[in-house]
Amino acid sequence: MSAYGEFLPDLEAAFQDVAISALGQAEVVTAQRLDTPPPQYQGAYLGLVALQGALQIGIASDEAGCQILSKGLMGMTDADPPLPDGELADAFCEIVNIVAGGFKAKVRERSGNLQLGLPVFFRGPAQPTEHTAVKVAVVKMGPVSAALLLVFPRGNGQG
Amino acid sequence: MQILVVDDSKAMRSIVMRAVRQAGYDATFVEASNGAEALKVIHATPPSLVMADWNMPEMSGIELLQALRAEGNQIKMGFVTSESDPSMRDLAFQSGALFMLTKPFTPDAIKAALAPVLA
Repeated sequence: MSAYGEFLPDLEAAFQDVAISALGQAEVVTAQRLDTPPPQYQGAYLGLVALQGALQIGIASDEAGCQILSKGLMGMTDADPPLPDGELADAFCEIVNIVAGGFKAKVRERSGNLQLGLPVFFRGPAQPTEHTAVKVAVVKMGPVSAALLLVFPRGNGQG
Repeated sequence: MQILVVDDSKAMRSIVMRAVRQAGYDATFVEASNGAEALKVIHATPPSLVMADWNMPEMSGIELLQALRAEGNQIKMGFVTSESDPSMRDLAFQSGALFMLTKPFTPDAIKAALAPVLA
């Protein structure tokens, strides 16, 4: 089984597939990779569990970015009124769910048999503990900036 | 024709219903947010087709299908899910699913999945 930290490019590729095919984005560019989560973002996490271990993926953006991506999923445009908080959280969780399915397919041969959990919406940054590590890819889609997060136990992916 | 759309995401239920309409089907819809809720709907008013997510709280899509088949209910059912694992596809079809559509999907994919089922 590969170290989970090596899966960040797979998460980027899975997100790109979904952003272009289902969120109305023309292009996704990875701007930078970080080892700490960006502050003041909101988004959703979803856990993936295998007998060999567990990890979480997350997608986060600012309020405007979450609105644009969620409206894109719903087939809405920027001109449509903002989604209420509950609908925004629901749609954004579904984005993470879809990305997680693509991610799972991309890492299947290297990850063991990952099972998808249910997504949860959050506001604010993930706070890694001494037992967890975070790898982040910041991606740009026109005016939208988003962070793709991989959270996993230390010792599995720390190189 | 009445279609029961089962997904814990209200957004995804809306997307599925819109895609079915865009595929040209003149359907009415009922909604459920998990398998247990869907089972009650099916018992009360059986729809023509069930389109269900796989991963849901309380009762998953595959648990719903297996519960229906265990009680002898042969209602038409397929999955609309982010899962694409071959072993899960095998389980779905062995359990009696008619299609397994992977999210995100296109209207054409919906059409291709539903055409043989609703012919």
